[in-house]
Amino acid sequence: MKTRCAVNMIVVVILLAAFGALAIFGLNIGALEIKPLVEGISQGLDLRGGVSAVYEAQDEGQSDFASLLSGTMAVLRNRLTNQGFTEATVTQQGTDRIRVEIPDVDDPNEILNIIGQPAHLEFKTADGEVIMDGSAVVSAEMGYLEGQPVVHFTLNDEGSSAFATATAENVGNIISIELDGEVISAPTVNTAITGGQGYIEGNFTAESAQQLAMLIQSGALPLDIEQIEVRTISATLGEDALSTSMAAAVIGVLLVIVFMLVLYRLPGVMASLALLIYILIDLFLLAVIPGVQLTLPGIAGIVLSIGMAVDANVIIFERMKEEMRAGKTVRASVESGFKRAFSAILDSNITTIIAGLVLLIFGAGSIKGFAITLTIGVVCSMFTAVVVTRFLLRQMVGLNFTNHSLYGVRDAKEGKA
Amino acid sequence: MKFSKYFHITVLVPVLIIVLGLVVGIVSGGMNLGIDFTGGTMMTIHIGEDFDSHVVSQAFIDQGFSDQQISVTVSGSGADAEALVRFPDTNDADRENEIRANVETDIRETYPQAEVASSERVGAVAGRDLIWNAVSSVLIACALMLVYIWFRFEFHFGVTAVVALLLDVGVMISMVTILRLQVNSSFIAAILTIVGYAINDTIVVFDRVRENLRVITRKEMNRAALADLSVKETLPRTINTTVTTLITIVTLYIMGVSSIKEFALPIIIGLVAGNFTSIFVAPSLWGLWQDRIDEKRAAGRRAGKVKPKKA
Repeated sequence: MKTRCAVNMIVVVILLAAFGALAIFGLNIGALEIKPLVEGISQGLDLRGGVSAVYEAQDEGQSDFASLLSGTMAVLRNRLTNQGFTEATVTQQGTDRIRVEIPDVDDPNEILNIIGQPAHLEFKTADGEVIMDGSAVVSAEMGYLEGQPVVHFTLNDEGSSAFATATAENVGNIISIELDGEVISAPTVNTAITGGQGYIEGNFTAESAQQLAMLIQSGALPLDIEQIEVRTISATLGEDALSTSMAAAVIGVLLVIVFMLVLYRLPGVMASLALLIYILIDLFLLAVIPGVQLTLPGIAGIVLSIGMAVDANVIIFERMKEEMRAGKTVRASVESGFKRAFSAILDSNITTIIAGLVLLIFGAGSIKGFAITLTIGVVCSMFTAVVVTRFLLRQMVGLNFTNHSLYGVRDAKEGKA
Repeated sequence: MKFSKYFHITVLVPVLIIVLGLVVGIVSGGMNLGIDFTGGTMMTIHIGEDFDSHVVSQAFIDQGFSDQQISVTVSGSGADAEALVRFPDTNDADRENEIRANVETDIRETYPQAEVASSERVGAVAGRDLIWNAVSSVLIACALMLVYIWFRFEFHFGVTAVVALLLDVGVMISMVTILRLQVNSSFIAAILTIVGYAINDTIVVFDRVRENLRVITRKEMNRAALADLSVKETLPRTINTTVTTLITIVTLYIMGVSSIKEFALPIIIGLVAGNFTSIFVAPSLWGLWQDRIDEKRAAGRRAGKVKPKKA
């Protein structure tokens, strides 16, 4: 019994040290590379820097509004991917809002211009008749014609035949190409164009031709959107915020450990071990659960949940002290302490989870990050405080650490035991 | 310790803070709402050296704002010096970008290292929605707490716990109003955190009350006294659980950046308020209420109106 408990304890401590080192330093042996845990958690915009913008879609009254909105989001995603912002996210917020988050961006203005631009392309005859619009364009790319940048486009079948008919009827006339109602190119038709291909000439630079090609390619937005919120955070500001909060977290944990050791002695040691295990599990979950982003309030959520994590232990240990004072043996006190404190721990954690879930539903942006870390933290802390601490304390009892003073109970009362 | 005997005094502490908050709020025209609620732009400009805030405000005045429309706050000094500038919503994203670029160029003439480190623009519509969101989420959370405690304990426990909770939230809002702290969307998160957490201490006490109810009869002890006993028995854990949480959040408040401070301080206030009401308000309220019900029943029995009922 005694040897098994000692072995168990040693194994726990070694595992904790090993996983702790792995989490802090990572691992790099040949093909096997494990990143330090904190780097494995994806960071929100407020920590890594970037732009977030919220758009409100207009015409909410439309019958197929929901599908138009998701169509708009798809186009936005498309535009961002075309621009190389593969890590950008486009999410719906409420019924008529779209949140766009783009990390690691240097020039927010340019990107926001691209996202927000409607890009409605129309081909018109001289008397203003619309031949087709941008949806007939299959592909568009920048090219050169006589050294001048132009936009080459390829039409779909429908567009090809419409264009062929229109150009056949309008030889010698002008066909204008309008972007958002503005004429960008007005070539004179020389011959009927039947191949479904053409180009747009204009006063382009290589860059603006490229941009127009991209806008045509990604299509028009099904809904008009209006920017109602935009936040830009520089990467350096985010780094500062991350490093100070991490330092605060480390100091906070150390202070909590000191507090637990002074107050509860041996159980305090076990609670501290359990707390470290809790932090590892919590960070691990944050790293592996998809969609979790570490934000500044999210770090606050983690730090807060560390303070809460030992609450269950405080409740259990106080209960144990009571049982010991009432004359029970240490072994019996440990068991009944856990058993009788459980209902209070369960109820109090569930209420916190309820609040976390409400916040998860109603909150947006970085507040959501807080709700996620808080909820995951509370669920996970319940496990470590109840299961892990009990396991550790049983080993201690098994090792015959049963002197009352080790549990912060004065010896004078031990006489009853 | 007779907590319930002094209930009429202790309950006044949160109530008076709330009244004071209301008075301050009325006198000073409400809370110090940030751009998340009012709309507008908050720009953080990293200056990189000690600076004259007039240079910064002049750059904005040159963009067509009046002196009253803009507010410039200096934060940090030397290499960390920053100007926090708030100005009203222009309702035009392009104009906003223009202002940002122009102001940066303008300030750089005097302070060459100046750089816009962050800028947050919120439209007025988004702000109005947020207030509605805040109120409804807090009410929904409180309602869920009531239902949960009702289900796990009993109706009267649920009501008193939620009354204590509403006092906590009231104290948080009042203190933030009195201290003129800026309120942004993170404040809603702070309130909901307290709604979920402050109730824990109350639950620990009620859990003990529930346990004591099984072994202590009404003849031995009236309910107010039983509540007092339960508070006393659980006092170390009620205080210690709050202390551990306070340790971490206070550390975060001391060391954190300004947006974290804005979030941590209301939580600290809420933790202290929650601890106070868990000890001095919720259990006594429950005990006194139960005794009042018992008295009525006894009076009813004496008058023969109500049949004896096992409670």
